[in-house]
Amino acid sequence: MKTRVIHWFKFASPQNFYVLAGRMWPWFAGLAAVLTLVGLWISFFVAPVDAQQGQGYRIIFVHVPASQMSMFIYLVMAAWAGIGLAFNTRLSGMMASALAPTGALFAFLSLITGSLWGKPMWGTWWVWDARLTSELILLFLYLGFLALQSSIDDPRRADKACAVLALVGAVNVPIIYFSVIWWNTLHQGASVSMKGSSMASTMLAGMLTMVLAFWMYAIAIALLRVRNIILDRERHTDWVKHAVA
Amino acid sequence: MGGYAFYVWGSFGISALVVVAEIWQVRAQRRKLLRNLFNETGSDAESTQNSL
Repeated sequence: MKTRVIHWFKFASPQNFYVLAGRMWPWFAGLAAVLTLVGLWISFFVAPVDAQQGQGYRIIFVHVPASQMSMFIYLVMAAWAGIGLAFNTRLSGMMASALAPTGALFAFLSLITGSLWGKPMWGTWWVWDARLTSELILLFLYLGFLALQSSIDDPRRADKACAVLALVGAVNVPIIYFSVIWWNTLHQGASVSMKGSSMASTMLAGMLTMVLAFWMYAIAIALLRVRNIILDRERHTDWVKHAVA
Repeated sequence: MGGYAFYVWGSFGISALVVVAEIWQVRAQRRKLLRNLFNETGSDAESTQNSL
């Protein structure tokens, strides 16, 4: 029997990954679009009105996915940064740079939608609560990463400096996640855990669909952005010149 | 929306806005990169658009 061997390291070369990303992104974008439509439909037409918060709770369908992705993207970004430092692969730094703006936008959305939820439910746009403050620090870490990246002209040096920042900042992610357990926060604890969920099943279905939609979107946009970064950094190489000429 | 319209639509609206803006920004960046590449090599933009 002949088995087909996949040469994974082949895709560590920016040139090959450029092609691969170009083939992959439409699938993730399509899935994101379909899941968003289904998720929005469940969020507004299927999920019932909440007993305590009325219609206001529907913010959860965008707040939870945005918050989750803001944390998860940071971890993925830090992982790529770490791989880049360890193996000195060029693509790793590009991946980290491609994820940072999307992560920053999700952190921003998490804070904004949280604020829009806090005003009617808590009576305030903002409190210096452990969950809110650590999420704000996450946004600053993303912005610091982006600022550092653009302040160093040599992209390879920028990658290394940013990798250290990303890895050190990763300590903030578990702090955000466990903040509602470690401290007394105004922010509520998790509604969904391994033991089960305290939500109605249609609410949960809507939330999980939106989470998946955000995942697919984040992958699609990161692939598109990494193609731009590859094109920019490799513009003096033969393969790009051949492709253009 | 039971008095919550501003907060709910505000949340969903700003999220939609951010997503649209991000997609637009990435596409604009790609167009600019390709334009610069074509200018550098002096090749015909129209015929090679699909090769990259």
